[in-house]
Amino acid sequence: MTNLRDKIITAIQEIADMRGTEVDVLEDETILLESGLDSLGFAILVARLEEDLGYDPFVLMDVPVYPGTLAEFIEIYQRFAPQ
Amino acid sequence: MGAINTRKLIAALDGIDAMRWHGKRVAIGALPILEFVSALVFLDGLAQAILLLPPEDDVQTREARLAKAEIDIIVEGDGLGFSKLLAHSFNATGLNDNADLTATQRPAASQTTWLLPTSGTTGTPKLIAHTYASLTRSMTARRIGNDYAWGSLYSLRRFAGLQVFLQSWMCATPLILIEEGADLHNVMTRFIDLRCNALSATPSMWRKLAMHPLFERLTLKQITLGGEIVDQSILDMLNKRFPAARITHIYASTEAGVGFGVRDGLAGFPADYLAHPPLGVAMRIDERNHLQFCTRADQSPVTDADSEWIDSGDVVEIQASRVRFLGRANGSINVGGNKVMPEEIESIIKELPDVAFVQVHARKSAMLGSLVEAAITPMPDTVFDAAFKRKVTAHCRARLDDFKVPAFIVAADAVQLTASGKLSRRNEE
Repeated sequence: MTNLRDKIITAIQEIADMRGTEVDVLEDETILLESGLDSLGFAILVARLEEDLGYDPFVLMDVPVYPGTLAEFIEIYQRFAPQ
Repeated sequence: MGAINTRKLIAALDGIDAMRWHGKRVAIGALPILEFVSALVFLDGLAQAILLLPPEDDVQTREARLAKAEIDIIVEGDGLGFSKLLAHSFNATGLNDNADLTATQRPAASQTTWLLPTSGTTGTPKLIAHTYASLTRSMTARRIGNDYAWGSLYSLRRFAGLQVFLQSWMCATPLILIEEGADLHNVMTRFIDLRCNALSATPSMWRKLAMHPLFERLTLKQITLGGEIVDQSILDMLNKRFPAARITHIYASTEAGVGFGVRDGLAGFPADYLAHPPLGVAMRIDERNHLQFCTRADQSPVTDADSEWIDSGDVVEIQASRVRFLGRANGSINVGGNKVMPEEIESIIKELPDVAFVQVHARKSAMLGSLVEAAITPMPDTVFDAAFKRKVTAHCRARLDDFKVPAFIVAADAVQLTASGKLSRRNEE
């Protein structure tokens, strides 16, 4: 799923660019909310990805999961991807 | 048919059997424009009530309105046949301008209630009761005569269109009438041919007119704006295009039933009006920044008792000795607990010269409730691309709080205005 990973990283960078914030180099272990992405940026990211991918895993999940790292965030998108 | 004056109209109206309509409750629907205005003039003072049926009503809403207003007769189709009578009176040799028009067959005039539907697009249809006096209260009755030729841009069945009609009637100025549903090109051509020099429209309608190729050929000396928030960019554009014109923007609150005009070319109104209200109706700004009006008409000292104040539902701020409008209280977008007025963001984006139209609305977000989305129509020569979006974003970031900057900027090909010429607001009540 490198395609999904690329899409997510590109979206994070675009949002940071649009909002004039700096993001760190994004690694699997990067803590999202410490990477330069605040809660508004995070909400925009999820809405952007929904537009791009056609689903919002945070709406689909029964038990709320809060991803800490980039790897966890990507994993959630993989898990809820339409089969 | 050519030019109609009040005298000829009244003479023609005398050919209709008044008793049939006396004391009746009458609804007026779609009519040829001349039939429509004739019916209004004929029925006022004769019918018990006149209901104007809005053009956009569906069957259900229409039936509900008719029932609510207890209507006896509906006038539509060919109307009462005034056009034929008018044609006849034009040919009649006996009619001269000194004909005695007081000797008509009409019973003594009684007060007619005018029932005007509210412009709200959702919920149960509401009717507001007016009289000729209440509709024309804030209008100038000076005889202006032929100095002005007003153009009618809205259906006369709508409040905005009716106001223009009544104002022209009160001042005895020519009014260029347009059939309902005429396209903008025909309207503009007619305005130019008939030398229209005075127009009243919403800011959204002015922007739409400004994009029309024939706009350059209008020669206006009175420009009136109202019905929506008037921002500085539209005033500047109109002033630049028509430097000799008098530009009036009107603030009116249906809730409070008041309105006043501002003519100094600046958006909002002078903060001094709070201390010295232009119409004598006291105003205040409450702790939620809502503009409120005093309900008391007498001159006794105004108190802070809430029962004496009526909320306009308009959110304002004071900036540089000016009261500026931010938007409707019930139209705000909630971004993670922060209230955002779409109109505030729209006015910032409209500062960019290559933006023709912009509409800001909420996009649902599971994370924060809502996010801000701006739908933009660029000017005809501007390409809507990534660079354009970046430019809009950068401009917003320089001027607005972080949570107000649109998270989404999308292209809008055509802008749909409501029947009263306003941008339709999905997130409004």
